[in-house]
Amino acid sequence: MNNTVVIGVFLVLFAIFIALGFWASRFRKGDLSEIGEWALAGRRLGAYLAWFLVGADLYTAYTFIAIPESIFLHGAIYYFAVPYVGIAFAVAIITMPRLWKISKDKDYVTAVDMVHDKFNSQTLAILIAITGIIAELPYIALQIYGMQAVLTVMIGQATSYDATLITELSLVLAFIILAAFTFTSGLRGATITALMKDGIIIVTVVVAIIAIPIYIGGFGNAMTAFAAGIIHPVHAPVTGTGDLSPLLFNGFISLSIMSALALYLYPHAINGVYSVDSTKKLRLSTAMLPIYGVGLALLALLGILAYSSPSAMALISKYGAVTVVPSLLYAEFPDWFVGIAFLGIFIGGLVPASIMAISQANLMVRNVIKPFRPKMDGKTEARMAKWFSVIFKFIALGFIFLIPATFALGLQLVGGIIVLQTLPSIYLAMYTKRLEKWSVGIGWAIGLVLGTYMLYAANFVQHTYASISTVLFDFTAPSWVTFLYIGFVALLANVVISVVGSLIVNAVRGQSKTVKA
Amino acid sequence: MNESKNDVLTRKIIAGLLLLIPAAVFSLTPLYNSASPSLDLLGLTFFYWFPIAWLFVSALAYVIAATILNKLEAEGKI
Repeated sequence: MNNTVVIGVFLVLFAIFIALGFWASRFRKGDLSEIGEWALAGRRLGAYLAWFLVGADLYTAYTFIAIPESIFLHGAIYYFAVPYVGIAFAVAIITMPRLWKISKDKDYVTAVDMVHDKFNSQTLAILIAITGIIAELPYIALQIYGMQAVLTVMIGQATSYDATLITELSLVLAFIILAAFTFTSGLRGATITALMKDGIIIVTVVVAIIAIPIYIGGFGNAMTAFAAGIIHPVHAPVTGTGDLSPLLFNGFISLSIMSALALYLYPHAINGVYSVDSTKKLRLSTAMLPIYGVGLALLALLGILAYSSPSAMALISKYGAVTVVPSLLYAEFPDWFVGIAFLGIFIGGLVPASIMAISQANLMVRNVIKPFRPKMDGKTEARMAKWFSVIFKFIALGFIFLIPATFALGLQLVGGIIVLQTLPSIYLAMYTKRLEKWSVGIGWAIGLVLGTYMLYAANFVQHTYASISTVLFDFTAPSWVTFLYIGFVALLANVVISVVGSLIVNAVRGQSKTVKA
Repeated sequence: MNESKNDVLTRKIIAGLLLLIPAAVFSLTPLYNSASPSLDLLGLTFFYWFPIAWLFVSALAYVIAATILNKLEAEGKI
């Protein structure tokens, strides 16, 4: 392997990527000193660009790094990601056009604007905004893990010295470049670079999934080695029952349905929805998104195929399971192709990180700062949002120390537990006027407290892990419950309190005048 | 009048089912957690390849549902 070629191809493509990112500010030109232009691309994206932008949220380090890593280590349970994307877009087709229409009618720029209006509560709106912002942080951190994984293999293979320092410096440099073009081009930069990223990724995935099984001789050998290689005994298939142990059915189903409900609660996903120019295009582009999920599934399978490549296994044992996809590509492909694929995975983390930070910044300025500084003009808002997008990216770096690279997926799943608690105030409030702010607020609080407690108990009481290593809670009584995703239990408590509380309050008040019509 | 109301309802139900059924199948995990080697595809077990195939079916169903809903919206019925 000629590492100069790998790095050379990578750098040339990265230069093109940066140029595209800055050029994008001229695309469908608008006044980027206005927040709506910077954060929502002026709401002028058509069906295809919107497909790419929302799809860009799917092809992230979650897909390239976290899911393959978890499948490689723990097996079938983490294949829940495929049903998840399949279900997520049905949820989106039902809920998102409605959100879009309500928002268009009332000039909302974020989902929290709607929460504010529906519940007539500034406090609840601020709480929901902050929840969204915080939930987004571990998701950005996951992107950083993905970028780091690529650099670790690429730089580690090119030098015989300890490459940690170079890897970290490169990562910081890449982050500064990202911050700069997010700053200047906003959502346009992210959308245009998403086209390049997805183009490269689609080619990589298709080539890898066709070439590797042919080269290695089908999935058969890999499947056998994979079944023997899974670490946790609970996760191993039980003879005669298929790949997923029946013990994990409830865990698998709760992970997939909850992830599906959570996806469009994330500020970045809603931001993507707002940038589309009509509900018609929104429905159609969303309907086509399961096709993106096929790529996710194929990447997940690379976590199995790695077992049949001895040279990939050697790299993985050197650099860690988080590098399963980069290691496999490096082991099995010619140097120029590895350069292209690595760049794809690398910007596959960068672009979503940019989209996520833009949505956080947008929420922060519109729904947390503006209430206290109502006289702020559009230019000040935009300037402030740009700086927040920089700050949030660097805060996200901190999350890397909280959850180890051996459970990168955990970052997104912890984010899911948090963001799910905004479901009653966003999804439910779109369909009913009878929800009442105190009940929803208490439901939110209890959901978060319960979720945090269960996360703590599952990792440090039920098991004694050194850091967060599972998001499944072990229910031994009643035993038929087996394992459940903590996000599900927390959301259930939240919804019950929100609904029952509202019913009681409305009954006591006699009439439902609690929510603004 | 009544007939067109029924017609709108039928179209809404069809769109709803086209969204609901694919999602429900994904959630019925025991259905595709098959142990039978005869269902393997290129050495890949049913559990891994079926959800991929079902993604294509879902996309098709969702596109039809979206088209129905878009038409209803254009007629001002949702």
